[in-house]
Amino acid sequence: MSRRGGWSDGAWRWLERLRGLFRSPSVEREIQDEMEFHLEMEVRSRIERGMRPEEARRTARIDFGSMENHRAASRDVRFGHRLEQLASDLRLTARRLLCAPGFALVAVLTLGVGIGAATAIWSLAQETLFPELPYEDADRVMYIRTAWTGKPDGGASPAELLDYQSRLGHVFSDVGGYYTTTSNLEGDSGPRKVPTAALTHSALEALGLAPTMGRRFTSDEDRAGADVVLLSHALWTSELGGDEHAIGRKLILDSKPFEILGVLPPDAALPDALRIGQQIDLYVPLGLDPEEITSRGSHFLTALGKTLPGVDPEQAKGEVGALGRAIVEEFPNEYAEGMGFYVTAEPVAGWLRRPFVQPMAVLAGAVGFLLLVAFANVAGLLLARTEERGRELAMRAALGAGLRRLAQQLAVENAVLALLGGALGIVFGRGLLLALSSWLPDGQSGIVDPTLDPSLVGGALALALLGSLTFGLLPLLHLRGTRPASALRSHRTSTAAAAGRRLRKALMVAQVAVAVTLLSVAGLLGHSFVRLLDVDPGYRTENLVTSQVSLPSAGYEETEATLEFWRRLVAEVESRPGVRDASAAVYLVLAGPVGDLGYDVVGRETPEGKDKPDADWQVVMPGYFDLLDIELSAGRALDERDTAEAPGAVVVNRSFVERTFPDVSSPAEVIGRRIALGGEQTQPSVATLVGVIPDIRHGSLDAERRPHMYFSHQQFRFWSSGEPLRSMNLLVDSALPPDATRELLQNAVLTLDPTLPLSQMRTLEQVRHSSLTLPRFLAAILLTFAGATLFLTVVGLYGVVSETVVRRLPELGVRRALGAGAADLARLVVGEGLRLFVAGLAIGAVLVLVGLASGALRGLLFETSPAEPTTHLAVIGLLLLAVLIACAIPAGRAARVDPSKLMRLE
Amino acid sequence: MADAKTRDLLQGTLDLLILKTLRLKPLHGWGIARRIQQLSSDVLQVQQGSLYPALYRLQDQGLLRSEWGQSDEGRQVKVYRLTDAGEKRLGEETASWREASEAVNAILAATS
Repeated sequence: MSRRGGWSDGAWRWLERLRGLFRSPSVEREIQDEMEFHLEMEVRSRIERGMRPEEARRTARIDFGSMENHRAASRDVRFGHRLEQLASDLRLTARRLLCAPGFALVAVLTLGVGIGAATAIWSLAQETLFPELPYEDADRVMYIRTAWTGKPDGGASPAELLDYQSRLGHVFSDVGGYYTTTSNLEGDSGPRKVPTAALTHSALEALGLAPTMGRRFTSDEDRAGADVVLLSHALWTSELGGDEHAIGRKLILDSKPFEILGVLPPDAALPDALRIGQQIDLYVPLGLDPEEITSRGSHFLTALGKTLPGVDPEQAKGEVGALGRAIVEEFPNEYAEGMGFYVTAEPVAGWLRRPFVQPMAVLAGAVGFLLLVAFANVAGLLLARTEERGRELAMRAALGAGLRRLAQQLAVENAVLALLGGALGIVFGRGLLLALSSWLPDGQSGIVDPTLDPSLVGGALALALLGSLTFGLLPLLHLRGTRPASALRSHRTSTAAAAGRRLRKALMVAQVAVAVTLLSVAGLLGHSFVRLLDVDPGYRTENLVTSQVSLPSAGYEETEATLEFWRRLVAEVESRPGVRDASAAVYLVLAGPVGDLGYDVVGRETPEGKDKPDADWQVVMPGYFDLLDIELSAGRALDERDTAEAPGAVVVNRSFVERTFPDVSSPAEVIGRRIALGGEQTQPSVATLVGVIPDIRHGSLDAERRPHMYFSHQQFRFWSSGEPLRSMNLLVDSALPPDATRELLQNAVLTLDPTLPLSQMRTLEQVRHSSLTLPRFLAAILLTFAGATLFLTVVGLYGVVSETVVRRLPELGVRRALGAGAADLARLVVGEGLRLFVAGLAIGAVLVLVGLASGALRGLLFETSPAEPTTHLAVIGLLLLAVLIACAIPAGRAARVDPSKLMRLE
Repeated sequence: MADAKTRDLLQGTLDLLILKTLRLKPLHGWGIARRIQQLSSDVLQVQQGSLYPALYRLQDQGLLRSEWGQSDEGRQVKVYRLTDAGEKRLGEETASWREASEAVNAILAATS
């Protein structure tokens, strides 16, 4: 016969394999035929050699051996047999799981809850703590910030940026700066305000933001008057419809035509924008002219630099700090001594991460506990199955099943459970992640991408598989050592089963301990949050709206112009119908920390070398205290008479009086006393106390009591640039609905200056609500987790106790027969549950004590002592209730035991 | 009985013999067994329990393929033939076997 060769051989091989997979009956038949033929030929050959036919047939048959064995051997070798086995294993698993739906359901749910929570929290942690930065060599990009008294997180002034650029060349390869604003885009759909960033070309270099279309602007184009712009991907799509020929087209911004140079990739964003989830749509050159920059006071730029290879962040920080000190020395007029000005650098990733570190730590702890409980539960469930499984496996082993085959079947069953649990976990995790991101602090919900990281899901599944296989294959261990016969005997007395039960009980105790811990922490945080909700800040928050107005330096260089603007704005707003009252202040309540300033009492100056006492300061316009319903304890509020020419006036709070004038018996006595303010540039340099107010909670609802000073907006300067007064928060008491009020305010601002944007208008209630976001978030999450843990613990406890009851049914029957009452039997069962509970409680209590002593919750609890009894008693009570619920059904079963029926079973 | 000897035949050796036998001409299972017996002057008798699994395994590895042929009586039987890959493997295994057996012989022949 001719050989057809290579290609067709390969094809034939695969066809044959497929045939073995799908048409196995026909393949089996062929094998059978072949064997029979072989046997026939063997018989014939023996006959030829002289044997009698019957003899030939008999001996040939014997020599041939078992046909079945040969077929089995051939079958095993055949490709696809493994798959057949897998298929039959899966069918078996399905049957078994459907037979015990309770077990399957609980196991899958438990795994799902645990894995889902863990993956959601882990994803969240990844996004917030390890943000993926869309920059080239992101770990080398550093944020260069300044700080001085009253401002912990300042930007750079143009002069300072130029200093960095010219004097840090040995540290950074590129140093750039930017600021964000809005510009008026006249598009096809009419004019609209678009978030814009003005940045140096070096900022683009430092970040490594490269356009997908077109190019960046060059250093030549980075000058005032350069009319070029880069678009964000989103704007390019929405405004230009994704036009491929967008490059070179013109856009009208703030009434001037700008040429489009390029389009940035979809994930491009500036660090500021990443932090607050804001989308910048237009990028224009900053256009700093070194010749024109003289003022150092206006720190409106965000500065960043990309370190040279080989320079690590610590070094960069050191060099930047040194430069800062040098600058302070070189320009003593600009950087007054009291200002405490310094410059530092921080990797951008670290800066973005900072607000999230503590909350995520707490969350991670909580989810870790939950996971432990979930796995412990599943382990317990699998252990419970070990007993009956052991017997079944022993029987099958006795019937000839190989150990490997049995292991395979068990593995498939447990793997299916793990995978189902994992799948449920993914669904649950995704939902949780969505819910979590909506609870995050305002504006940061944009950061979280609610898709789960696939590697993470894979990891979770692997974990689930590991756990379930470890515990699920336990019955096999038992089988290995013993002979099937002894394994078939009753399991109840076997030591392995007893060990399994002990392990299960230990797991249960651990679960209760974990539940105690989690519930305690959740309870404390919840209690703290409730207290926060009810706290009276000391001022009115109902029915007030606020909005921030910022004046650019252009047109408002003179302090007088600035003051005039504010005066006119408040007057304009107050004159509108529907407005009852209006005022303004530099710092908004409940919106973060304020500035602080050192001071001295006139006549009682602090000696040289010692630190002056300091107090927080706030600058207000007339009518502020009245608007916020803050009643004076003594003296008067600041009003129109406190002009720039009038003597300096200051209103202070209770804490200030107590601290500065401890010997005074009533606040009225301090009226008229004078204090000298720190900082060479500060005006007024000396102020007279004209009024005292009670302590209020300014920075946040859980703010500590600090001394406060209030100055009139006409009198206060921090230093010559007049910077703080460029931005004020309007406060308005309006009888109109919010939309009308917003329009009114917008209108009022535009009347005075048509180019000014008005920031988001919010009610003070909204601000208050926002300020509680983090505590609310933490409390909600922890209560959810604690609830889930409690649920799992109840389920687990139910499992353990009911299994005990089933096992001891005969014994219970005997007791009944001997005269024990139903109540006694029930008590027996509940007693078992309680024993586990008490053991778990003890361990849990120790854990809680250790945890609280370590101060893990420090800073998160508001007026709530970690040791307060209400929470802990409530936790114990709740758990006790849970235990009783869990034991209820098994106890009922025990109580109803019928001795006569039992005897028959045995 | 030669049974003891054939049971000791390593799986690899049986494969080699099958490949070689089929090189000369395609055969059905029984024919292969008888051929091996003949060529080895009755020293080696292949048991069905080893033969068929070996044939299927070699088939799955792509060294053999089977087709339908006719027995001497005109009956439809499955006949095995060598593939190109099988021919190549035969060469490799033969060389390998020769090397190994030479080595073993050398050791057995050593007098010290």
